[in-house]
Amino acid sequence: MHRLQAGPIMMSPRSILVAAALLAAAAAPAAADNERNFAGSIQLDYMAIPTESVGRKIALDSATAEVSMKVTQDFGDNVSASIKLCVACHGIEAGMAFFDLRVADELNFRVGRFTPQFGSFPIRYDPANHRTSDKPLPYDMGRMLRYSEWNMGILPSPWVDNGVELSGAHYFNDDIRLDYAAYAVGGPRAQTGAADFNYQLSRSGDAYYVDNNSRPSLGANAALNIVAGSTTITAGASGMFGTYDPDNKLHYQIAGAHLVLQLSRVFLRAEYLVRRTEMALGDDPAQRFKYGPGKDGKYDPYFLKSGWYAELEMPAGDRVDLIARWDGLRRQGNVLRDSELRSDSAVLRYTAGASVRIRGAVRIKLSGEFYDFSDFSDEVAIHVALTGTL
Amino acid sequence: MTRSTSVRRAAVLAALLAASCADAPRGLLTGAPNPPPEVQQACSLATTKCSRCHAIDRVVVARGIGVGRWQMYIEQMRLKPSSGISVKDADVIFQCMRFVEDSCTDCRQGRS
Repeated sequence: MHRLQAGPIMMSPRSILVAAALLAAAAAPAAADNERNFAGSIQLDYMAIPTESVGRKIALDSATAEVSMKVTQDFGDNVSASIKLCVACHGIEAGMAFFDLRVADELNFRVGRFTPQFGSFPIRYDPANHRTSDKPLPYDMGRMLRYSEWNMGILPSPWVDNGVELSGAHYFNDDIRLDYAAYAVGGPRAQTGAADFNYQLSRSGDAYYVDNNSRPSLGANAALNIVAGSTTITAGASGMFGTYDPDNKLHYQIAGAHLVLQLSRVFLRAEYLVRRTEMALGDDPAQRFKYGPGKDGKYDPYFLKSGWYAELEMPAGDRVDLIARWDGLRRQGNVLRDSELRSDSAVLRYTAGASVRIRGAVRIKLSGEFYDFSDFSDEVAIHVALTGTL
Repeated sequence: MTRSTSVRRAAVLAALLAASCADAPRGLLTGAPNPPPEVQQACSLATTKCSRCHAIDRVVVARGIGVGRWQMYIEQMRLKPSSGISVKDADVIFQCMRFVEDSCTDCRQGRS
């Protein structure tokens, strides 16, 4: 019996070529080797913003491609290795490169570059595994409108990082199971004197793929799963904390909770994430920030960013899945002087979509989104995507 | 909104829900002749469990890889966080995939 888990990103061009060659070589004999497997997916998505004459000014609109190729090799019953290549807006990246050592269901060690367990959505982050073209706002990685003003979501997915993770699953009986994970990873990054994360530094070869401040970020995730007939309920909580600047002075904490209710093929999913992030006040906060000090005469160095989504997914017939989603982001706290956000800003989004199977594992995804911004004009986005898996 | 409109919309929603709750194996048994009832049930469970994390299409296109690899895949999937697959479920899902592998002559061999 072979056992392993998957996870996902990021590398230099030379490393990418080497990884691609390894992937191709590894995939070739897959059919003849029972202990190696290849999996891949592709999504070509076109996003139109009919409420803007040039949508590119506020979003990465038009066509985007997301391609992933993964090879997993088992070494006996307890050890496996996985490597994944991803192509998306950020170029070619290594989405995963790790080893798993499974001692028992309750004890698995993962070492390398992977996506640490946080919340529910990251398990389905691959575009072939969720029904909308884009991700819920708390996990947005640059596909939302006004992504630069908002600096994307709370924890962009897939969050890929170097580190070690301890995880496992314990069955209390056949119907009740507890999943857990605890990990130490490099964590988010930014430059000295930052006021928020800089996600580009997490996937830049110029900054090397190493921790930027000599201190790992720590995190954990736990989820309880209860099965009753064709109904499954999953409730979980996650947390992650650390520092993100090179001087190890700026702290952050992220907490999340999720609930998934499955009634046969109908899914109701809800998640809430909140991040408290410390900003560098600088030598002259009055010049740096848009708002003045509090009643105590001091500048609050923290801002709070929360995000949530609730979605209903249900099949309609043999080929079609329907989805309705409500998600949002809220940011509270001071902002830099040149920011277009205010001390309390929000965006709400309403999405209706369908995923239609054309043939085999080829699907067309259609969705319409209405954005309700507190600081900008309301917007509409329309997605048409073609996805395939193998 | 009039009362009749509300009733009509509720009826449409109820019909959609009823349709979506139907436990059809959704493609897994396509091309497999005369599946016995217990296999249909097993494949229905497989469809429900697999759909939790990905479209069932991923399983359908992988048919033909052989029972050994299905045993490996099912174990991998069981161990995914919050998979909702118990040890007993894994056995039932394997029963479905074994039937598919043994009976589906249309399924291509050697696919991964």
